[in-house]
Amino acid sequence: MATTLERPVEPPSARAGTDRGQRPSPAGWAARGGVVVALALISLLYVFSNKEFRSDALAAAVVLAIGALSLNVLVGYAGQISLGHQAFIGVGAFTSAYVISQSNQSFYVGLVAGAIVGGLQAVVLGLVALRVRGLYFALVTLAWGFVGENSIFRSRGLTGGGAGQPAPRPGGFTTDRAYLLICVIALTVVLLIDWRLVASKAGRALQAVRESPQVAANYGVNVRAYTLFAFGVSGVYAGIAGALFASQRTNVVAVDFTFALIALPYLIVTVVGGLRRRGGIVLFALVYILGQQYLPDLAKHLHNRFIIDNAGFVVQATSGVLAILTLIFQPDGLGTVTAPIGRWLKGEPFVFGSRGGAGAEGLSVRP
Amino acid sequence: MPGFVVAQPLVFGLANGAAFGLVAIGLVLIYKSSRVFNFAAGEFVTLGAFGTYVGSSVVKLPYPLAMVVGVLFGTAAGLATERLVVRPLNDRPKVTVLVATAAVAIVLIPFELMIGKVKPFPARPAIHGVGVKILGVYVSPQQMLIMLALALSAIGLAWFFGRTDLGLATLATSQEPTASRLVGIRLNRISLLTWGTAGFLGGLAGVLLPPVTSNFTAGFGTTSVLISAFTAAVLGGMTSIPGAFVGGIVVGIVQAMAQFNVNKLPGLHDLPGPNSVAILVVLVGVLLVRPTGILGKEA
Amino acid sequence: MRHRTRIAAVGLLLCALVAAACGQKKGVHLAAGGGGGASAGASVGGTTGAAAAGGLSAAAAAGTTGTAGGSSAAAGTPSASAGGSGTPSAAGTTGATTGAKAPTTGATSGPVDRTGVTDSEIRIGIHAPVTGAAPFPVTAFSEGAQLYFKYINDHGGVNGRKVTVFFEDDQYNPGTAVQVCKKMVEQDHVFMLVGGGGTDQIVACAQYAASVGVPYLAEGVAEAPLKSVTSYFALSMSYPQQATLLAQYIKNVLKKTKVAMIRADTANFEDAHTAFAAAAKAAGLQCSCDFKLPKDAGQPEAQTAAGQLKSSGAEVVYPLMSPVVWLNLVAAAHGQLYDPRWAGVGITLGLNDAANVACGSIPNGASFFSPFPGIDKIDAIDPAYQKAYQQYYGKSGGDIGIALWGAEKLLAAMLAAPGKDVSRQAFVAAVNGKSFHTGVYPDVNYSKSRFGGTAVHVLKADCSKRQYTTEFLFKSGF
Repeated sequence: MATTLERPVEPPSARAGTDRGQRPSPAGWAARGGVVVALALISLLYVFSNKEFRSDALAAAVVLAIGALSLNVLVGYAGQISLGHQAFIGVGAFTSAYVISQSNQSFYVGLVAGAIVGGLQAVVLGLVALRVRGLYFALVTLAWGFVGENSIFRSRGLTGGGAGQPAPRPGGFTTDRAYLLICVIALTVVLLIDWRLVASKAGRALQAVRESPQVAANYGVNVRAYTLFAFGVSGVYAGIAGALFASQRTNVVAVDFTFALIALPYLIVTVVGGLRRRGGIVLFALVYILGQQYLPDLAKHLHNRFIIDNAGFVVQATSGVLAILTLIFQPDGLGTVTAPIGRWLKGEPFVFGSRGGAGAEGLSVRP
Repeated sequence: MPGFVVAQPLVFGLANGAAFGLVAIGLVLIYKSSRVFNFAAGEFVTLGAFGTYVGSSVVKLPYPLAMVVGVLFGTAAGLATERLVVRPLNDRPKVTVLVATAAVAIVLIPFELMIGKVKPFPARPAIHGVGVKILGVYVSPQQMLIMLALALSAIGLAWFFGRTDLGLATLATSQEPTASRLVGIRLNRISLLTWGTAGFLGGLAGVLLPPVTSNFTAGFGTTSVLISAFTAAVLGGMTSIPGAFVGGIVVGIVQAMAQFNVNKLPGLHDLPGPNSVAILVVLVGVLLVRPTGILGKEA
Repeated sequence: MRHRTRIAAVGLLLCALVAAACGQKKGVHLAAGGGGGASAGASVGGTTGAAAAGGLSAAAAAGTTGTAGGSSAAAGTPSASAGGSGTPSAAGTTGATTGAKAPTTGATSGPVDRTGVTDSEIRIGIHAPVTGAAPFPVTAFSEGAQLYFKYINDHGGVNGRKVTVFFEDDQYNPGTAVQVCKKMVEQDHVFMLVGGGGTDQIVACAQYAASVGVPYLAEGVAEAPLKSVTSYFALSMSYPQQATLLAQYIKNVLKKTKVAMIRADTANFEDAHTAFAAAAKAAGLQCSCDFKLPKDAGQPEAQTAAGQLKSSGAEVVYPLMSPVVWLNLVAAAHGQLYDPRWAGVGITLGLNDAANVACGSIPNGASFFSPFPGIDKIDAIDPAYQKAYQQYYGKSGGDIGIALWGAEKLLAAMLAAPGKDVSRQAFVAAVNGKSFHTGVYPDVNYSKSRFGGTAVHVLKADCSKRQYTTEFLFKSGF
């Protein structure tokens, strides 16, 4: 652990310095640019050659990705485990839906409100995390998740009770394709924030706190402030994911935010995608949702009625098995694949293997 | 306080609490022996209920045999979790193992849903009848059965840990793993035994609890038993078996009291899910004020 | 620094590409939609007026065999009458009267939307819960959902068109209901949508359907949230409409005065609650009407609610909630040795699956108003049902099949109303103001409002058979 402290996730400038001798040739850059353009074109082709509802599924995948990135901030960066993310997402979703349909504000105001309230609830939970350590804090998040699911989200004044709270999409973006654009923009913003966060002083401080709060404090890192900061960031991401979730479904009810439907799948996506591996997380969110979409079609070819009826469950169970295998054999998850590609795109030579990700120690949490 | 109900929630709380206690003892056993938080425990419970349902309604076994099937389902799940998930992660950080046990629940819940769909399963009681009238409310035979099961399990475990070589070896392992191995105790065996016992207790709770409420749903062990059982274990200090026993009863009663009476408090008339709020309050309260629990020696 | 700009540039490029493509999207979409509509319109237009030899009238003739099974209004003939007197009119007139009227409606009301209708086919989409808190057994439901239209398609269809039924599970979740309704509209191009049960889901989907101009039919549930949805027609009496009947039933049939109402906590039950409180008061009943519990309440909430009901001392309890929650509630009440008479309205509470489970816990009985009759009376009022079930599935049908058979029989009569030129606008115009008589569901009369139900059946739990039997047929007062 001490070795990683000496070399925290390297800031871009430092990396550029070390790799200066191996800068890609113009042809190399062209290849990289070509790959990016090709990926973008394939995405666009997919969106426009398919019916609208496929875009709706993509929007769901983007929401899942943002939610999993939120969990990644807690588990991956701050070393805190959350098993109550249904509360995080639900608070954002119901806040946004309430602001849109009860306060008659625009979707965008709802999105911002969802992000703020999502951040605030996370900071309050963070205050508890400062006092309750490690594994025990996981229990607090679990209990908090159930308070959201069973109490707050069923409170009719706030959430509409059984009828749910409508969350119409913004004008001009009511179709699935147009709404997907909003989700993609939000994901891009979240990814950019996350990227800057990790590369900044805050990111290095968080890593120090994650490795050892005592050592970090000795180096002058304000452990309390950075822990709360991480909770706030995670809550803001979750709030954004929740607000997007609400308008993707256009109506949200308490039963949308259960432990089995939100907390567990989000955790799987984070773990299988790879802790601290943005690319892996986004990729697996996509795989997770598209798996549910296409598995029935595949099963139809195989005439397997069981899989057609149970696609969602099959994908979830398979992903759970993948999560266990990831934890045992490959703590970096899909990040093992995406990270080298990401580095290559940024101009480094292609080297397979992990660096600065979950690494061999996998998850770590304050004792 | 006018209008407060006491007797009825007391009965519900005792019976539910006994089931929480059974699961909590399993959590404590595992925590004592390997410092792992077992988030798969809830699904041991669901599998117990599921096994009974499959045994009695699908295979049409006589009810007592179906109950045995249920307990076996739970035990098998405990053993499989140890062998396939926990043992390969032996040298990893405990939080990795925690996430892995949660992943076991992630695998099991959709499996139950695939077989059973998102709908409730009927659960018929082992003994029919109204029961005995105590304090003006009736205690059903099923509720008495759960309390009996908890008492017998506690006595059995006390005997096991106090009187048998294997039990003493397990205790020794939890206190001094390295020294235990040096004197010839096989840690893997002990670990398997602990998880099997936890699975057995969870399965037993799953066999006994659903008939009280006449039905159960896929994943109910994780969504409505797990957090209560953990809170019970934390109340008892996480390492104390009698603590988990008492903690279970306390949590059961607190939850039932909250469920029946919180809406009579001013301003909380319309608060949904008071039992979930009560759990959070108790859990955070204990962890902040007295992290060693009520009966525990160390946390 | 260079990295930062480069990635920002890539990001911007991506955004720009997506944005550009999206700007293009709208036109593409409109063009496609317009093209489809035009071709459909042309083909239908080409055949309008030709050979209106009504399949439905043929079917109606086949159905006329069964009459008079102890009920006054019994007849197997689906028919529509323009004035709305509710008297059974001769089969076959349906096609004639409305056939003449529909084209004019279509011509006058501007844009005409014929999505889901071709020369030979009409597509309808049904949403109902087969999972969640009010699950219909999936086999019984999917068999039942196809049965009536299989039968009528083999008897010539509706005005010569075969009816194709699409089905989606709404999971008893209003958000999911909107999604599956949207899917059926956008992907399956259904002509109209039908709700199978569950107030919140019906309201959510009806509002969505209105927003895209799709006609929507469902059993009568709430009124207030559907008042403005002009493309919605209730296939049976709404809950507020049934309030007076229920109060009369409790007073005059059950002869009890202390009553309680407990409902799932949703805004969509407010009007049912207000109406029943008023009706109970008018009937001289003593009502503790304000109990609520969460829509997806579990055991703990059911136990609390049972305790509250018990302390209210009510002799009769009117539960307005999903079957699963009601089953939890009866089990909890019985567990606390509180055994009221259960009486209420509803679609799913009156299904035999509910009785089968509830019967251990309802020693004082339960009865529910229902739009469909019990299994014991279906042969008397419409023998075609069991014959058809036997013919298509080789077994006898259950009550879920009856519910769907009745609803779809009414639906077919309504689909026949606009005649040969079926468009969404013509359909709504043709149904508005008419009354329909099918002999399974009580008659509906849309001359005053789109909540056209006129009567109810009453189903009473018979715990010796663990199912519901029919206590009253076609009652509009007690």
